[in-house]
Amino acid sequence: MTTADVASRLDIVDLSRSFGETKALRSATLRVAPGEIHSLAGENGSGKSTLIKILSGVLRPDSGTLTWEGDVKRHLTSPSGAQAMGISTVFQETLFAPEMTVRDNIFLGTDRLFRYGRRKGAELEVARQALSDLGLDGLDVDGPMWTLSLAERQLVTITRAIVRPWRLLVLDESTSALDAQQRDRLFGYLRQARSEGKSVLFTSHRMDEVLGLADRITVLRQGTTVATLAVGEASRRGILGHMSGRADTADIVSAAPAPRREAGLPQDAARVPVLRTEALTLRPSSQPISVEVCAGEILGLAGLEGQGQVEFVECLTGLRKPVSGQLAALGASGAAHPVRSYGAANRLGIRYVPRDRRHEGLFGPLSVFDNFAVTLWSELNWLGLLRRQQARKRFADFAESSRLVSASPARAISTLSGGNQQKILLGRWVAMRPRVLVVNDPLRGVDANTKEELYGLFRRLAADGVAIIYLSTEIVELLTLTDQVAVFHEGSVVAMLPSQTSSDTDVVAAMFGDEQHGGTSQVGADG
Amino acid sequence: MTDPTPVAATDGPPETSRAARQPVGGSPSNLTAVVAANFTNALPYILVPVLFILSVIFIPGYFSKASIISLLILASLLGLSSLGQTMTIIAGGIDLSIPAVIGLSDIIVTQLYYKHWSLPVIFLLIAALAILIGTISAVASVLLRVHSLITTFGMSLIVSGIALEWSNGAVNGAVPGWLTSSVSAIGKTGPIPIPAVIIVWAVASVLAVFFMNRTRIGRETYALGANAVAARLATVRSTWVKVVVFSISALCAALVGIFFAGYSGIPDPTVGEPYFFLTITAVMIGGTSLLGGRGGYLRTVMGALIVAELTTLLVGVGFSASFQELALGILVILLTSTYGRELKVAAKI
Amino acid sequence: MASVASRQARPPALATPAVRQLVQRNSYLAVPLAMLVVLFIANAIVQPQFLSQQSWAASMAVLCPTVLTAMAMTLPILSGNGGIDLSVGPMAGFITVLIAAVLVPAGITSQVIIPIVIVFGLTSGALNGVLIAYVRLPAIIATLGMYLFYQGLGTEVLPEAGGSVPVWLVKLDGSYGPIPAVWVVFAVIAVIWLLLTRGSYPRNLLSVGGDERAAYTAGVNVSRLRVVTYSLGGALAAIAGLMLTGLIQGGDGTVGPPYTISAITAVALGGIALAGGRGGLLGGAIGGTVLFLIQELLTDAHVSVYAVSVVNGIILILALALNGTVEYLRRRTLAAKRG
Repeated sequence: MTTADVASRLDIVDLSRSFGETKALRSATLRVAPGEIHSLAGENGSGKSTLIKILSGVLRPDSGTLTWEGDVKRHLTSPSGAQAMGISTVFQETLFAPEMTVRDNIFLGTDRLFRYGRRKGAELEVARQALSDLGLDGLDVDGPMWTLSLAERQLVTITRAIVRPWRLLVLDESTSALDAQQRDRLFGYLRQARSEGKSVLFTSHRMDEVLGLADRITVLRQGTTVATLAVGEASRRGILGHMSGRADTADIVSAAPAPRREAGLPQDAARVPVLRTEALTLRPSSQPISVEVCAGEILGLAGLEGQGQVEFVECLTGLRKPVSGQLAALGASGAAHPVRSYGAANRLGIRYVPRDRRHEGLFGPLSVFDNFAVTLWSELNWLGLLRRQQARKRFADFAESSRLVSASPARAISTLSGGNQQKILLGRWVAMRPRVLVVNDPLRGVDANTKEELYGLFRRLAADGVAIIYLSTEIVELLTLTDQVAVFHEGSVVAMLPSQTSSDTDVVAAMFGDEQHGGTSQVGADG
Repeated sequence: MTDPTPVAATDGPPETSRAARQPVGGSPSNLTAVVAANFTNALPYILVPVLFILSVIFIPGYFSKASIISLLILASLLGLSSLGQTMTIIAGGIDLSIPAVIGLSDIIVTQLYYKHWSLPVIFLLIAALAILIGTISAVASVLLRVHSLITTFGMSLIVSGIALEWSNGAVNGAVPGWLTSSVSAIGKTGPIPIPAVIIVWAVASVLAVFFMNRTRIGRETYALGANAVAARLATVRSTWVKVVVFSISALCAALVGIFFAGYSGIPDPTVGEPYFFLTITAVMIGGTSLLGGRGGYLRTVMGALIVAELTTLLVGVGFSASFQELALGILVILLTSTYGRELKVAAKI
Repeated sequence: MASVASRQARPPALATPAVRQLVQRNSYLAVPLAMLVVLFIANAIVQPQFLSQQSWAASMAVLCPTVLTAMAMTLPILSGNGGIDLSVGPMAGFITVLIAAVLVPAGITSQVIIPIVIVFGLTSGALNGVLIAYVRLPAIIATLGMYLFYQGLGTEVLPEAGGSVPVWLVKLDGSYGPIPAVWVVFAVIAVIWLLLTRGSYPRNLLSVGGDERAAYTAGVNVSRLRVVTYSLGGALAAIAGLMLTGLIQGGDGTVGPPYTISAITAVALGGIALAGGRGGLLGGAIGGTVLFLIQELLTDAHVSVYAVSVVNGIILILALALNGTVEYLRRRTLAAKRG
């Protein structure tokens, strides 16, 4: 299939859209054919989400044309209008009504305001079939949504999109919470839909998904379409190059995360433990975890969704009490201070960077500086009066070391891109000079360049003696950044793999509970 | 797997949803909207002189010292009552107990002074009670995981009940002469020919703005109102902030009650009733959002001035109290339509 | 995946989906209903005449506006996003003025008053809805404005309480035979609501209250739903005003505000989440009844008027505490069951 002369279902030409002074889209062009899975690739701030919002009827473009199955439209009137046309969208943020049942959430919006009578049996069958296709057979559809896990919720929102009659399915980062198995089932469903002549448009930050699933790829950079490639013509480097604008592939190679520092872990004598768990049990049925983390060490946490790594993180930071076991921060003299609460953890120098930027991190109406300094004021105050000069200095230092896009600190945080927002959130804790920094998937949804800069930041922190506990859903990231990876399965640590010598397969195998496949599979091995 | 974290799960419903309602990306589309947004931000500051000029035009004799002072007295009383309210709203809550505390304070001053209690003791008692009331409202809101709208509402019922019971049948009251002159149009503060209440308001305003911008608690208040969950994770002292802002609110209400006592001299527990909504009106008209996390006291100062000017204008032009209320209702809606509008649902996605 | 199924609590074998939905939808009523029963018994004990027929009718007459304004307040609160209607009280108060000082003197005294009042309520509510959904004013501000407007208008049109009301209206607070007339009113409302609940409106309402963005992106016309919601609330408040007119046998522009306050208390007592997305009209009705029974109990026990106010405040806070705690425990146990 060549890129030209493809009969199209959706044809977008020259779309533009601004928000105040920010031009989110300048000239976006996209063509999706029937029976095609099309990937929309681009860094944070490239305009992907804006384009999708226009496609789904949430936003109107400022200019450009949109042709759907031959009809030229100025814009889509509303979400229900888009759905009526056959475009089903799953948004990046998992949206659901928490108190309503799964079933009601699936059929949300399919009724008019005063539709009479209960749902027909046939409809329910469709829902059940869809859930089954996505691997959610055992789900209690009459239970409230808030009892579901993040991944289950995301799958339910995908179900919501597919139970309507659709000809184009738009998925915006819809696999972000899913584990490998769930992803595979979803892809299976998508390929099946493709063979039936339906079209899929998806965005993903995972290159393996883009290359593995898409037939054609459109790359956006700074609001403009810079390339449209068939998957056969595309390579990881090529796509990354288009996304970042770096034409020279040599640059791409050096931009790829370098392997872990050759010096490796400090020698045994120089190892200073800072955090220790003793027989920490996360769940009644899981094995106790005994780990010791040293200054300057980066410990990675991996596992399929819901296998205990998040609970472990929460225990480490005092947000959750384990079923049994102890957790202690170790002082300079070796004295052990138990960590019993979030406040205690912070006082002991254990700082936590939460996963959900929007709900747990950002203060939307406040400025960049306020977002950064909020934690500092506890330190930088004299009888309650703020030491603003010192705080400004720390901000400037951090902005430099993290290569923050030069922004006046007085700007609203909402004007920053996602990647820069994440930098500020990290900076908030880094500026507190932590002993242990616990990060929960910090680079999720962040573009490649920012990732690179932040990897550098983490490495520098470790070199300065900060112990880092790094939870991530990207295996490659874990293997290149950390010293060792603790793999979680069913609430226990089933493997402790040295990052330098382990491969993706080793980690994946451990994730699935396969203990025979390489690496140390001793539970609770320390270092 | 649990999501959100236990920290988030313990928050009362209104606060957790606030984070989702705040815009984290994007601002109104196109240039005219940006200009409009900036204009509407400045509107309260523009309205103050505009309304004043209108008053001078439509009300004969308005441009005199006596009427300006009267206007400022009105604004001072409202402004002081709204000082704490501004802070509680920025913190993401609201204080509906202000009129009740005003009434209680009025009763205590008039009756105890009549019984020859010493003034410093009376003031200390009122202050202690105010702090107690504010603390209970705040702590109840935290412990019961309930929005302060409700706990302050409940406190207002309790406090007004107590005030009514205390003043049951009492008609005797007395206040010191200097208190009466502090709210009188011809009163002086030492050598300055301005009644004390206005001076007190001016000083309090400066302190309030300084407090919100230059102290740790002030910044923590903004953080709490912007995103309660993130605030807790950022080691903001959420409970302490609430205790402080609600105590300040009650103290300001108590102060206004003392001034009101100066107005009439007789015990009147209902004297604060008009302020049930007027403080919120002053804050909103000034442009501080009920969503929390933004705005400031300077805006409320403008808001109080605008409300005072509007009331004076309407009275001066000859409208009855009923008509004033009617007109105030319409004006609240009109003014907020220009600069208090919320985001479209689409913009929150 | 086996682990997915095992993590879900298995529903009890006897519970059909319909029964489960019913229980789940109405589980918020557990505490309010308990309170209702306790208070009812308490009242019957303290004042045995409470159960007599005359007392019954009189009680219902006083109860009626309280319950109706509570129901009027319930709908906007359910719609979430800070939804509330502060104008229910003053609007009801204005209706008394409208009937006694405008319609009756103009010669309109027959039952045609009823549809006029209802249309007025629907329109006023629709105006609220438009201000909130389309002009996008915060609900508390828009309805505050309307509160002040109706207060002012009511006392402007009728500065002193007075006016006259048709006899049939006063009779509405009596009985038709053994049945208090008020029950007829409630029955009609119940029938209308039951018809609505068979359809999709309550589902849509609760979804919007749960997360308006989810509802919007799924295709629900959120703005239109809000306008409809406030309109229905306005109609209920108007009917409250109608019954109130019969109760006070005249017009009085100042009777409104206490009903706004009692409506908020009643909603809280009714187990309804103030953030929206959970609850129902029945909660408002039960909450209003609970509030009424508390007042009755206090009056019977000869508690002073002022102490009643204090107790009201404490009751409010406690009711919410109970509500909040029950919610918290419910979530905790359900989350724990999931493993």
